Amino acid sequence: MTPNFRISKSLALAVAVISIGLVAAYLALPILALFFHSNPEMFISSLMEPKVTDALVLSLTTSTIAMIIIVIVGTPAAYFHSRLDYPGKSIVDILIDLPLVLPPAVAGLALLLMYGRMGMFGQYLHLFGIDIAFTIIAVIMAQIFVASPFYLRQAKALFGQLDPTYEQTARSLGASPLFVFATIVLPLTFEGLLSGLVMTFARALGEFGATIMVAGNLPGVTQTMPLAIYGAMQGDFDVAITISILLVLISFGIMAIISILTKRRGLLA
Amino acid sequence: MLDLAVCRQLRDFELSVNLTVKPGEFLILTGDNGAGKSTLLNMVAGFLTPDHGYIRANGKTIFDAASGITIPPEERQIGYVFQNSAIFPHLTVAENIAYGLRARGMDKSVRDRKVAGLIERLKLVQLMDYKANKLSGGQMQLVALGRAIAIDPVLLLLDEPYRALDSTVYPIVKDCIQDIVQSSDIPCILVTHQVSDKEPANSRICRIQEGKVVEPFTFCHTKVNRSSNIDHHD
Amino acid sequence: MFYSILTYEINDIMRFQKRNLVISVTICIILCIALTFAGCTSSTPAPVTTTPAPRSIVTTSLSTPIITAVPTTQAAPKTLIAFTAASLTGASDKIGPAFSNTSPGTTVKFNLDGTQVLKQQIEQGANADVFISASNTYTNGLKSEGYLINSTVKNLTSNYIIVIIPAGNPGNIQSLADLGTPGKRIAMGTPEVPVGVNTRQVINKLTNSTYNKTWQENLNKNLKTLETTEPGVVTKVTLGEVDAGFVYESSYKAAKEGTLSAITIPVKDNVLQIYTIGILNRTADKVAAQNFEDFMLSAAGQKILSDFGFRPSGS
Repeated sequence: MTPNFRISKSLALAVAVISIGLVAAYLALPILALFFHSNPEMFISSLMEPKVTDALVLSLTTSTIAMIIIVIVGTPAAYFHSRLDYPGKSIVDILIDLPLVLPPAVAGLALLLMYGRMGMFGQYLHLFGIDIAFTIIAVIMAQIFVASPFYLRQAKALFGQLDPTYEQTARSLGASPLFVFATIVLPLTFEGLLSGLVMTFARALGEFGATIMVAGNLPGVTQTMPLAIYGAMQGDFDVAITISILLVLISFGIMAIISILTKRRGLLA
Repeated sequence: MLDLAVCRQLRDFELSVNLTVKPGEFLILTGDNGAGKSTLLNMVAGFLTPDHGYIRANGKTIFDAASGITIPPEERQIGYVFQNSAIFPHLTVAENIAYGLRARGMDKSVRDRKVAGLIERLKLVQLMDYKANKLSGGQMQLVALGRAIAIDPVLLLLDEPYRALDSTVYPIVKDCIQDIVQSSDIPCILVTHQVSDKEPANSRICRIQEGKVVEPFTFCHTKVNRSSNIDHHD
Repeated sequence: MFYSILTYEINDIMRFQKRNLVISVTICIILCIALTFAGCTSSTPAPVTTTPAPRSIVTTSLSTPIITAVPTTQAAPKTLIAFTAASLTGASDKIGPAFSNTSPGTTVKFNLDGTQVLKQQIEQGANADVFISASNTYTNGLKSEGYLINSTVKNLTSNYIIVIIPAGNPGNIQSLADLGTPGKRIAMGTPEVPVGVNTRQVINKLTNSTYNKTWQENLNKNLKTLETTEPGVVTKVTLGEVDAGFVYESSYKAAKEGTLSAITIPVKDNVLQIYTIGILNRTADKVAAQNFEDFMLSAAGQKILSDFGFRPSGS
C-alpha cells in the first residue's frame, strides 16, 4: 500500500465517524434537552395534574381505537388491492399516499368542511342528531386520516411481495380463502405488518394539525397530548415539558415492546 | 380419469386443448416457454377460468362453461406442486404435510398418524421438524409431493418438478413420483422440459405450441366444442 | 475491490489510531453535554443584554418617495419585525403598506399570534423590534423582565368582548341567557390567551350581576373548543361549526356583511382590554422602531385601527 492509499482509508473512517456522529447527536441531543430541563420532583408533581392525565388517557385511547380501525378495515383493503387489478387502482394508490404529503392542517380543514355541522356530509348527519366535529370521534377520524398510510403502504407492499403460489397451494390443499389468510398470509407478513402498525400508532399519537382544526381543543374531551403541550407551552412550561417527556417515554416503550416481540418470534421461527 | 376440453383467450393467442388422462397414467406436457402449459394446469386446479369447455375429474364435473359450474379450488381435491415447491416457510416439514388435513378439519391424532406414515414413506423422518430454509431442493420437492398426496387427491398436477434438481436427486424424485401415481392410481399431468428418450410405459407425451396441441392427435388434440352440449370422446 | 481493501485497512488503522479516535469522540460528546447543561441552569432564561444582534438588510422597492411629517432615517432599506396580537390580523394588511408609504424603505413584518405565545417567544430569544400586546399582564411581565424599553410602552387601542353568532343563527341564540341553555355549542379562547382571560372575567361578572351559577355551569358545559388565538374563535363561528363565540368587538365590526350577527355585553359586565405598543430592548434599529410606534399612535395609524373596529385607547 502506498501512503496515499492509507490516507484515503483514514479519511473514509473519519467521514464515517463524523456523519454517523452528527446524525446520532442531532437526533439525541434535543431529546436529552427535554430531560435536562426537568427533574424527578417536577416531573412527578406535574404528572398528577388533570391537564396531563386527561391528555394522556385521551391520547392513548384515541390512538388505540384509530389503530384498531385501521387494521380491521385496512388489512383486507390492502390485501385485495394488492391481489386484484381493478379499475381505478392507480387512483387508490395515490389516495393512500395523499395524507403523507398533505399538510395536517389542510387535512383538518378538509375534514371539518366535510363532517362539520355545516359540512357536505356532516349537515345530513346533523339532521339525525349526529355531530362529529369537536368530539372524540373527530379526534379519532383525524388520527385515522393522517396515520393510515403508514399501515396501508406497508401492508400493500408486504402482500404484494408475498409469492402467490403459497396461497394457491394452500387453496389446492383444501383451505378456504379465510383459512389461507389466517394460516399462511398473516404469519408470513406478521412482522412487517407489526412495524407498520407501530408507525401508525406513533403518528396517530403525535397528530396535531388536523386534530386542532376539526376536533377542537377542549381539555378532557378533545385535547390530546400534542395539543396539551401546545397549550401548556403558552402558560405552564413545566407541564409542557412533562407531557413531552411522557410522549418520549411512550415512544421508546412502544419500540422496545415491538422489538422484544419480534425477536421472540424470530427465535421461534 | 381426467377428461377436459377447454379454451381460453390469452394475451397473444388462444389456448385450446382437449385431452384425457387415465388413472395411474402420466400425461407429459411439453412445449416452449409461454406455450400455455402452466395456464392449463391453473385452469384444471381452478385458479383460472376457461372461456369455454368443461373439466371432469374422477367422474365429477368441476367445470362446465355451458351450465355455469365452477367448483372453487379448495373443493377440487387436486394435488398441485408448483415449480418452486412452495413449501410454507414458517411451518415444519410435518406441519407442511399436515396442512391440507388440518384445513379439512381432520382430527389431530388421525392427522398425525397419516402424516407420520407419509414421512416414513418419503424417507423424510430426520427432517420432520425442519423448516423450509434447511431443506435442499430435492427434499423440498419430496415434502411438496407428500403434502399434495396427503389429501388423497383425485388427480396430481406437477409443474416442472425436476427443474431445480441436480442430477443426483432427479432420479430419486422421479421414482417417487412414479411410485405415488401408480400406487394411488390417479391420473397425473406433468409439465416438463426434460423428456428422456425412454419414458415409462404408463406415460404419454403431448406437445403444445402457442396454445395448440401439435402432437399427437389421438388422446390429446386441439378441437374444442364451444356449443352447449358436453362433448364426450374416447 | 476498493470496498474489501477498505474494510481490511480500516481494521488496521483502527488498531493504530483507535486510542486517538476514542479520545477525540469522547471530547466531542463531553462538549455537547456541556453545551446542553450550560443552557439550562434555570427555567426562565436571563434577560437579553442591549447588544444588538446582526441583522440582514432586506431591499424594498418604493417608486415615489413620499414626504410626510414623520421623521425618517436615511434611505438604507430595513425590515421591522412586529410581534402583534392576533386580533390585529386583518388590520395588519393595511398597516404594513400604509407605514411603508410614510417611511420609505422600511417594511414591517408581522408575527401574529396569541399574546401569550409572543411573550414566550420573546423570552426564548426570538428577534423582534416592536411588541403589540392585548394583555397588560403579559406586557408588565416583559417590562419587569427587562425585555422592553419601558419608556416606549404606550397605550395603543382598546377592545370590548362581544358574543358573535354565525349567519343563519343555527343554534337559535337570541340572548346571553340562551348561552346557558344545555345543548348549545360555544367557542372561546384558552385560559392563557388574552381574549380568553377577558371572556372568563366577563362571564364571572355576568354570573354575579344578571345570571346565576347554573347558567355559568351550563355555559361551560356547552364549550366545544378553546382556541389559542382570537381569530381562531372567529373562524369556528364563521364556519357555523359552533352556535356562538366570545371574541373582540373589532372582529365583529370588521366582518364581511352578512356573515355574523352579535349580542353585545353590557359595559358594566364587560372588560375593556387596553392594547399596548412598545419597543423591545433587543431591537437593532431603535429609530425605525420608534417611527413605527409613532405611526401607530398617529392619526393615520389610529384611523386604520378604527376602520377595523378597534376603539381608541382613551375610551
